[in-house]
Amino acid sequence: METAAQAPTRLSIDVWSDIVCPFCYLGEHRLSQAIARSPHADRIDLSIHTFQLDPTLPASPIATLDHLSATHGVPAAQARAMESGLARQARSEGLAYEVDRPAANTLDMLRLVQLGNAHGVGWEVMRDLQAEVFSANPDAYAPATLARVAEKLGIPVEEIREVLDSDKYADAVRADHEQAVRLGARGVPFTVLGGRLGIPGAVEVGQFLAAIDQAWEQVDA
Amino acid sequence: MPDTTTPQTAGPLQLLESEAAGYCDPVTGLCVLPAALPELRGDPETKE
Repeated sequence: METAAQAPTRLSIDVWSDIVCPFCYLGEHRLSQAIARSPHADRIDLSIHTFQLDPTLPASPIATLDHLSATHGVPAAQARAMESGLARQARSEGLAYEVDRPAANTLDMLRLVQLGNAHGVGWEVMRDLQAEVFSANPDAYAPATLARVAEKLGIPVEEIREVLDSDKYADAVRADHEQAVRLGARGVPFTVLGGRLGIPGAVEVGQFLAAIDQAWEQVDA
Repeated sequence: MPDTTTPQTAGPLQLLESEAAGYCDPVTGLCVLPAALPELRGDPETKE
């Protein structure tokens, strides 16, 4: 019989993200690479948490660049230049990234991530929905797309339908957001290793790897 | 009760901040590298 003293040491990594957040998309990719390279990979418990960046986004998709210009006052040329830089960076790391892509309210998507967490596939739901958005699928936010992504990951259709037809998990989305703020997050992505080290933003793979090593020394001490 | 897991923290977090770590800010709505913030704010006096 296994006792607590015999249980192998494990490291928790908690990540807060939103679907429409470019640096979350990049940061999760980099963190996955760092974990894959870590000698402790098989003893890391990775959890995704939701953080809705912009609840004012409309339910119907609009152009991301138009949203940046109209809502946040970024001149159109500057918005395109910022996005083009992010696109170059993402593509150089092997990720699909379209500058001209739709943006819409992500609450339904984030509630689906929460459902994914209940089935142990929250990370995969987040990543697959981000792939739909950043590859500029015009139907990325459509309920049928959300259902397809979740069903492909093994979530029962009736549970997906129950979530999409209600506000189930909206409280979990709010709770995740509030917890991130309490922990000191001023934006996303926000990563916490071992409940002790916080990393704001999408750092490089090597920095994630060094942080994993540092956190590992603390949990293994 | 929300069906979610709650990470346990052992007191205040040690933050590993980096100027090279891009993030998205819910207040401004912008996704930027910290090093680029003075320029985005149009604040040349903060530049060296």
